[in-house]
Amino acid sequence: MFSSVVSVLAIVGIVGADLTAAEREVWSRIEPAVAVLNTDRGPSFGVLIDAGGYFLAQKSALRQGRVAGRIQQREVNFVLVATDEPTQFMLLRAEEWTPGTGRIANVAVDLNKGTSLFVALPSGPARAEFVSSDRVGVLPNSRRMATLNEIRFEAAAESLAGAPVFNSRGELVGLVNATLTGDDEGPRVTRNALPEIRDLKTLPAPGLKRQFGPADLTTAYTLGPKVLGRVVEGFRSPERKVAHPGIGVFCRDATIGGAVIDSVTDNGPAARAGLRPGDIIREINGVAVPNQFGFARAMMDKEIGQRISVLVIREGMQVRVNVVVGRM
Amino acid sequence: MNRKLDEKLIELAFGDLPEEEATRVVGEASQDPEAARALQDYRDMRDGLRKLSDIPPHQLSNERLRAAILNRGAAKPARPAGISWLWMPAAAAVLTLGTLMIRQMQTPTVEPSVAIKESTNPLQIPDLDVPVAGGTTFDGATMATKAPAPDITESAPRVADAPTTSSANRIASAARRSPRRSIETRPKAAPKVDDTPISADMVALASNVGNRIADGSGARNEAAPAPMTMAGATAMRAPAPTPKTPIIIIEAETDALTGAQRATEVDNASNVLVGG
Repeated sequence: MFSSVVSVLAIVGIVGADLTAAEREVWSRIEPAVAVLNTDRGPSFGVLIDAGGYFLAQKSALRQGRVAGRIQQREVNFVLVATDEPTQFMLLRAEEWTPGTGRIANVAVDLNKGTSLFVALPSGPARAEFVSSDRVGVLPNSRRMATLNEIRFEAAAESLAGAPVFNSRGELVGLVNATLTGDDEGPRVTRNALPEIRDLKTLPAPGLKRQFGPADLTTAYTLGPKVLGRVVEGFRSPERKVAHPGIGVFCRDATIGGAVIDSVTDNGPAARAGLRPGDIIREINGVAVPNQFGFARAMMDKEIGQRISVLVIREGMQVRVNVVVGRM
Repeated sequence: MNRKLDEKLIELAFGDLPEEEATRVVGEASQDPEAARALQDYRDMRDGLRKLSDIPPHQLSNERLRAAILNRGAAKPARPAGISWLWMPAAAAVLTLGTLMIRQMQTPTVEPSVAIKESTNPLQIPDLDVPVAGGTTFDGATMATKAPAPDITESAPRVADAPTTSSANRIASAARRSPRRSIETRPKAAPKVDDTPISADMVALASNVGNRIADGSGARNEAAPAPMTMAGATAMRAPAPTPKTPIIIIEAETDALTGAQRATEVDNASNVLVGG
């Protein structure tokens, strides 16, 4: 199974059959940052983020702690180094890594609607389109709220989990976290076509305009640049740990307005400050909190160590509590 | 106006009279206001019928139209009412319903009950009997106040940029939709007002628990406001609804086809657990 997968990929060379020559040229410069992982769920990907051979991968596509793969036609074994549970990202390290090998990818921070992108798929790279960066989502398990990038790309039904997305400058937009589910419980696709990637700054655009399609477009989400950058920075740190700011509470919407605390993390910043289940958060630093999403939004821009003033309603009384945002 | 003149007026309006007789009939109509009105009505009818777009002009038959009018008894066409009489009760019902809905959505403010009694001063200005905290009353001249009202907020609160929620359903059964729609605001139930004063024990408890600074210094929060009564707490209006933004719920389970986690857009985000 492993040999057959490697053979297929060697033949294909992760080159998209539908990309133009110019697009394939750009992809050839991006590809050195991408490792193909041969997981039990099928091919997945890791992205080189550190010169020491550390790769960023998405947990949904990887279950074992050790996996074989390839990067630039060279077979490499990868070991699991760290996992960031809130975002489900994993840090892998390539064994017997030669410094200077590959191309380190940095996080893209400036994206506009309609920006043309590349997404690495098991069948080869495909063009994608950046739709929006103002989507907001609730992540599984941690229930943390984060901004999401919405992208669309042409893809048949294949493994998309953890597929890396790049812009034409080779910057990492993200790894596919989730795909939008349609009414029939399957991936929601739209009949449309993406024009060829024209914003190839380093190469002259081909004179011939080509339109591809009609094809099925899949809507997928990646974590926004702020959270993705935090993860990459944490994995690059000597501790290889990601620090997400938080105070350690879980909330729902309160019937009278505000966010009612459902539970408090033991020994977390909120617990130490005296917040209790049943408290209704109404303000944070003077900003009204209309519901649980207002609370999560208010916390999204807080930093570790920052002191915040939280106004809660407790048994009919207003109580103001100072909490120091901690590392969660 | 007699029937014969009425018939002539119809023929005149539709151009069926010879010129001499038309002139005579016009003269007679000008002498009779009723006849003049009838003539204008018939002319308006003629113009309206000619504007019918689905009937080519050459198919409009003046004779048929005139015959139809005459067969009907040449009843004077009723001057169309400016507005149907049915609008009044309908408008009243809409206004009543709208008023009820607006009142239901508004959070009632707690206002002190005011008893206005007859004034005995020469200016006939009624005195207001307003109870304050502690049960004492005051007149306009001497205003005895208790402790200053608690400073609830240090600055005018801003509405956080967060999506609104609507009623019912847990995440497991959150309504899925396609295409993407906005999240509707759920009307908040008006809280019950309770004027029960807070005991000193509860005040002390709130001060001790709520004002501890979580940095381990043990210092107290110097700017902590005094606890309020239930009435004061609930009188603080709930924040206004915020702009609507779709919420993407990413589930732990993966899509069988894509292998990626499933994402759904929800328009019913009530009771969704969020961590922070």
